[in-house]
Amino acid sequence: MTVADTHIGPRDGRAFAGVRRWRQAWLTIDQNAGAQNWAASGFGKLAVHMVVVLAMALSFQFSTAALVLISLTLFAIALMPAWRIPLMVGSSLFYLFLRPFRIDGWAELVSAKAGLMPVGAALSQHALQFGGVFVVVALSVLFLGRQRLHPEMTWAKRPVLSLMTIWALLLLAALAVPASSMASAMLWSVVGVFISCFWFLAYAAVDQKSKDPTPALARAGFLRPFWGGSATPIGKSFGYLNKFDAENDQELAITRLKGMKLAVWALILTGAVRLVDMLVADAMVIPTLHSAVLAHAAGNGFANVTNWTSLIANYFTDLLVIAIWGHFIVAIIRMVGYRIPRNTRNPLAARTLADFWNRYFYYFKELLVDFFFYPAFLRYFKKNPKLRIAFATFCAAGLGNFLYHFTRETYVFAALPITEALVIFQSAVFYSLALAAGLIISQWRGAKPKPEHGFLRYEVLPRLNVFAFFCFLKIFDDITGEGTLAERASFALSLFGL
Amino acid sequence: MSRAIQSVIVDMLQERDKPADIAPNDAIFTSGLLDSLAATELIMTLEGEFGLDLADADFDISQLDTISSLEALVGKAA
Repeated sequence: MTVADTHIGPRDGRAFAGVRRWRQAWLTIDQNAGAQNWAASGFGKLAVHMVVVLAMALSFQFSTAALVLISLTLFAIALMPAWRIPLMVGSSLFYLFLRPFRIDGWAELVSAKAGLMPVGAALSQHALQFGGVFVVVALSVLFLGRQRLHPEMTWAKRPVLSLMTIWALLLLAALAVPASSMASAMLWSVVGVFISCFWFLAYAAVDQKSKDPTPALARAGFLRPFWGGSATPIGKSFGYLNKFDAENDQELAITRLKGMKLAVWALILTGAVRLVDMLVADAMVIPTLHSAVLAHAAGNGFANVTNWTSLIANYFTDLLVIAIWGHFIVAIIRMVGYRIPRNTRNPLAARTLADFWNRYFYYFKELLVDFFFYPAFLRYFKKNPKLRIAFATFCAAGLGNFLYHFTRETYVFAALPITEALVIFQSAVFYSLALAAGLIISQWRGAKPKPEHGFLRYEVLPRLNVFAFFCFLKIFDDITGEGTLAERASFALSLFGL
Repeated sequence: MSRAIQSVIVDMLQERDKPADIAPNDAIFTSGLLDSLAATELIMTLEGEFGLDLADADFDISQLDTISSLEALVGKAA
């Protein structure tokens, strides 16, 4: 062994420098002309697509059916770019038939309804789901077609309100007919599919007001894009996507390289979540926040330090989980050729509550801003700027936020009396009101922290404030009805020994 | 005398330490250059300085997204 071999400092430094260079090369790959040319070549396109598909597969975030559908659609679009819109619409329609409901509660309800139907008039769960999708697509074609033909009509000018009215009427009809009838089963299926597509349809209808040239038929087939995700439209609609469309081969290559980077980053974050799980849940045996709240409510709560660890771990895990699936969806959309902004962008950097919302779940914030904030801000309390902002913020973060979750969960009304079903939403009401109050105060305070305020008041305290607010708010972030509002409040107080 | 729309946007960008060299068709809000709070400020400026009433059901919020569409909006109201 030579002296050089034992003198590890400089070699170690060189090794780190090498890693840093590779990291830098990867992070700037979309700005590298050679990489751009490679990504635009036939082999490069195949390789970039393979990396994205592999990242999705290794993350285990997608079902096999979804992974196959997404992969086939992406490869087909890459091979036949002129057919991009028909391929996106066709694949999305197929996805809607494959997974008509956003959450399992609706599928379970329709399955139970299928079992209740009288012998001789019975339909299978799949037939009911198929019927629900068919009715909703037909309704969307009719709505968007009529809206395009008669933009001067009041209902066409206020499409979101009109769609909300249609949803309420469908729900009332489902509640009104005998529970064991075929009409009941069919109506609940339609309501479930309609609400899973609602915000996509709302964006499509608003798009038509902006004179975006996409045909109404294509919009009506794009009610649940093939890339999956929640009921929040990441990528909004064709009108929004078109604003970010790559205009030439080089831009398309750059967009796909950005998509590939994001997919790989999402895979790395998936590993981080697994590590946190291994450390917190497996090694330290820390329960989830939900379990900790329920244990406290049942009178056999965990030690205070366990509850605090659970609360803090829940906050960071939630951030990671939202970031992972948002990144994957944005990566897929970029692979299609639309360079849309990320859904999550460094939320820990936020120094205000409003900025956190912008960074944490961008497209949900956009939904609330587009459909609730702006309409209220443009119409009410125009003489009083503070009240105007407060009311619009309440409409978005309070009313809109609650309505989004409430409408999604209305299947509970099929099995429970209305008063009992309403009780389930008590924590969600509190959560929405507390969030709205926090955001209103944050906006009223106005003065943003600045570097000249010093390290503590600029870098530390504002971020701690944001962290504490959202960390505690998560205790009330519940739509299951398990753990009442009082029990959740009691858990929050118990953290401080109260 | 009201300011030109271009200077309103440039002022807003400069206040937020954002690059102010913006072309007429560059997206201001959808690109993330300015956020929805800045949009409220812009709406109030359009109402206060340019006398626009945006409460009309025909108004489409995407008209605020570029300097050209803003100029068209102001021009239509003039």
